[in-house]
Amino acid sequence: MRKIKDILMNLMTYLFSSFGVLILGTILVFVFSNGFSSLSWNLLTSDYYETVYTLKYETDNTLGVYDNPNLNDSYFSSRWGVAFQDTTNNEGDSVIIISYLDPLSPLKRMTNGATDGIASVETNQVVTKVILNDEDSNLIIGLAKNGAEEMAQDFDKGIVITNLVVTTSGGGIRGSLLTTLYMIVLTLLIALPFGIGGAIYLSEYAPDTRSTRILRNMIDMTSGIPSIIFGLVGAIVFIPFMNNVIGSTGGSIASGALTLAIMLLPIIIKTTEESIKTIPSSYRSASLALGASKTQTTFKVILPNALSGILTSVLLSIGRIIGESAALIYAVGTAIKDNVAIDENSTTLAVHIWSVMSGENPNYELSYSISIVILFMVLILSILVKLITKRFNRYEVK
Amino acid sequence: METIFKIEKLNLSYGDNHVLKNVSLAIYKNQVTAFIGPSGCGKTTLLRCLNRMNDLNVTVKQDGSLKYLDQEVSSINAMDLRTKVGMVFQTPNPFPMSIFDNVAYGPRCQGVKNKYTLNKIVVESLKKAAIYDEVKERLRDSALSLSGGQQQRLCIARCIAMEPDVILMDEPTSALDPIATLKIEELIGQLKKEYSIVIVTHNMQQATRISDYTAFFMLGEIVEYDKTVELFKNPKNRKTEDYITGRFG
Amino acid sequence: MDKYLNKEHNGQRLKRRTAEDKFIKNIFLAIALICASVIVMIVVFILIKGISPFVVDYSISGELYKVNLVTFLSGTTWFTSPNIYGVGYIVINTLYITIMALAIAVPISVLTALFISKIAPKKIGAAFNYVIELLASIPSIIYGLFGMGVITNQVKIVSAFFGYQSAGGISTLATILVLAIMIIPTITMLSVTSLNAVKQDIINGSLALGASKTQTNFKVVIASAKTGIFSGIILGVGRALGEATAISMVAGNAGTGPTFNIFDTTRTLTSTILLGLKETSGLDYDIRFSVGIVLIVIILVTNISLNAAKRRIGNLS
Repeated sequence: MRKIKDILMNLMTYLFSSFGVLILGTILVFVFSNGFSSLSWNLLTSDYYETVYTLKYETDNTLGVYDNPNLNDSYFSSRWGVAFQDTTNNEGDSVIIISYLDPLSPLKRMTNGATDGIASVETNQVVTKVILNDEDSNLIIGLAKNGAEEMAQDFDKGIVITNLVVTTSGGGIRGSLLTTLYMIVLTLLIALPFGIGGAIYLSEYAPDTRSTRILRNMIDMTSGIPSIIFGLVGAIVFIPFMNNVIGSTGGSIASGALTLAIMLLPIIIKTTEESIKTIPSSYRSASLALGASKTQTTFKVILPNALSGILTSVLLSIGRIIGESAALIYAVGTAIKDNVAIDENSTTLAVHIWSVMSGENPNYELSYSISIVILFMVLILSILVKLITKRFNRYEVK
Repeated sequence: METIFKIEKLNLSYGDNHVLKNVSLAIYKNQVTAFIGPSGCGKTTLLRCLNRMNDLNVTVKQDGSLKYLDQEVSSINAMDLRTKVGMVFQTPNPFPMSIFDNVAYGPRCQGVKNKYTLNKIVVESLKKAAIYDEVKERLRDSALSLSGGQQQRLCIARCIAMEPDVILMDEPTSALDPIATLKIEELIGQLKKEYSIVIVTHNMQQATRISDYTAFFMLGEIVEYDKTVELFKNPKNRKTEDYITGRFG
Repeated sequence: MDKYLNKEHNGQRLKRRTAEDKFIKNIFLAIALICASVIVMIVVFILIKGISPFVVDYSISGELYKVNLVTFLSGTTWFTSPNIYGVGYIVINTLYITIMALAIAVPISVLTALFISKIAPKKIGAAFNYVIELLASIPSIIYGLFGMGVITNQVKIVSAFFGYQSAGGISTLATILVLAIMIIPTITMLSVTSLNAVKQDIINGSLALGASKTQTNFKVVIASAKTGIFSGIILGVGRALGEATAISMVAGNAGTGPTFNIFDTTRTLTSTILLGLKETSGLDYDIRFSVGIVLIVIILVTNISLNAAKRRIGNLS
């Protein structure tokens, strides 16, 4: 009877524990399989919003001869030095994109129909329509629906472009990538001095009194507050604050950074303090016995040896910043931007997902692709943390 | 003989624990003075009074007179005192820095920046601590790569770099092997020409080997204080005799 | 030493460095005080904004309006227009969902922790542990995405099997499942630490009495680690109560309740705060802060009672 019970319990244990690995596996497989296809360099570097340009080239291009790069699946116009390719966009429609542009192509020196400024086409832009004139001033009209091959031929027939409509592919996350980067740097810039300073006070200067215990408790309590509450606080404290200080209107990366900074303080303080605790007190004694001041001891002996803890807290913080969504939804906003500025609102990668998933048409594919990027960063950070703790533990004095 | 420390009726308590009771003692210049006695008798505490390291303990209460060169130690700035009264600890505690940086630490804190000057100080200190020849090829290596005995001599060099008048040593060889111990004892013999040395030791034989004066402590009081030869050959106090003949301790 | 330095300035240098020590100490103290004041700032501002719906008149469509505290706390509906705000049912929903999620997560977490700590060979245990650590660092938005993409579909199938029409899988069940998955890593990691800390002597003692490894594991090891495991559970509860993003993506934001049928849509305190944000001022905005107050109170009460329970469990051993 006992044997059966044992076997049952064991079975249950194996079953339940494989559940954890199963879940991770499922999440990863799912995210990867769905998001990998649309993951591309283009996704990472292009704008989110599509822009339509109307361009013209009015000088006679009679002498254009450019070398064919002979790309696969591309059709080259030797007169204009441009190659076209058939492909499908994020919504699944067939489009023609510019797959190659010769560095000397006249298409780089076109005129923007709306602004009259100089404009250039870029690779990966979608060509919707072109109207050209040939030598005899005949009109040649090239349409997207006719395919890339015919488009290339149309281009070769004409010497003047009176109208070229190109659209930048949208759906890129460059803006959000940049926002995430700004957010990380700005948040750390604010949070680290206070976090490290707090840790140093608690371990080096704080007397063992009731007030110190109260101080510690207050800092600890901050770590139990959910991030949505921080978002609320950020919205009513830091947004108006930043509006006054840097003249922003509404949420901004700056207000988001302040919100994240106060959220991260307990982690930074705790991790740094742990690291300082491992410094043998004999170092302090030795330094003071040599006639150094307390300040010198703190900065020359304690701080350099707490570096591993500080580094760990930096990596942990970066992980949390990348993944944070609820707080930023309130403290910054959910408007996706292509042009990112610190005094304006924008979305980090996580908030970008939220933005495209809430609303009537959730964009699953884009979200999965962004998830891959986020997961990749989180993985790298977790490996780095492990490496750092291993490496610095090696050099510790017994 | 010049007196460098004059202690009169010194009392010290950690909270309710009365650790030093009416201690009176004179420490002489360019002599090696040893504090001996059973564990917990207050000898290390007295040593730490001499460079005000007890200040680090918040529960300490102290009264009585402790003069360094005729000035009350409590009226001297602690940092200043420690540049003149250095300390070597029981377990070698070099900083996790290079050998050079360890020795240069003290002078740098005092504001010496000139590379040539620092180099000169470091080399001289390492020579005086009888360790220069062993480390001259690897001054930039980590101090933690040295053996225990070498680390302790490095700590002595670090202390010497401050050019103190007094070197306090708290059981400096108790964590070391016999050969390293011997080297340090030889070093102490050399050092006393330039510095005054006060050493706390558990090892009576060590006291007889290296010290000129010995103070025997018990339960926070000085039982006997005399020239070492006298104290060990003709102890005047029964308790002293019991201790040094090994009846207890 | 003195000969290398300018002798005249010795006394000055000392004074300067002593003054510097005092100055730096005060700077660090100020920094620490600022860090500690964060919690005060949070409480104060949430309170100020959250109390106003009950004490200040709001002008809505030309009429003055104030929210009744009793209706707010005991109400069973939440509508933006007309402005009927009742948080009572939302609290019940939140607690219900949390308890159900715990019911799923705790057995899985503890058994997984047992596996990692005592049963698995060292290398496999370490690998599993790393997997759990990775799971713990996945951001909640991705769990929410997974919930929306995968779990809701499965729930849709299951509910159809039971002959129940669900809103495309957006349901209480989906919320519970997503929450459970999210808190498993937290509870597991703390349980592993506590199980690892159980002294080998106790284990040996049990084995020496003739108990099997499995019996030892369940009767002795887990029992010895129960305080630590409970701490993990408390942390998990904290995470569950505070989770906003993932829940908002699979809950549905039901306007009335409370919802006990797992196939119906539901609403939690956090999803109430996060969803339906239209204006950044006015009653609809401010009432979210009131919900924030309720959330903080619930978290506080849960923490205190769970910690008291933990101490009692600890004393019983």
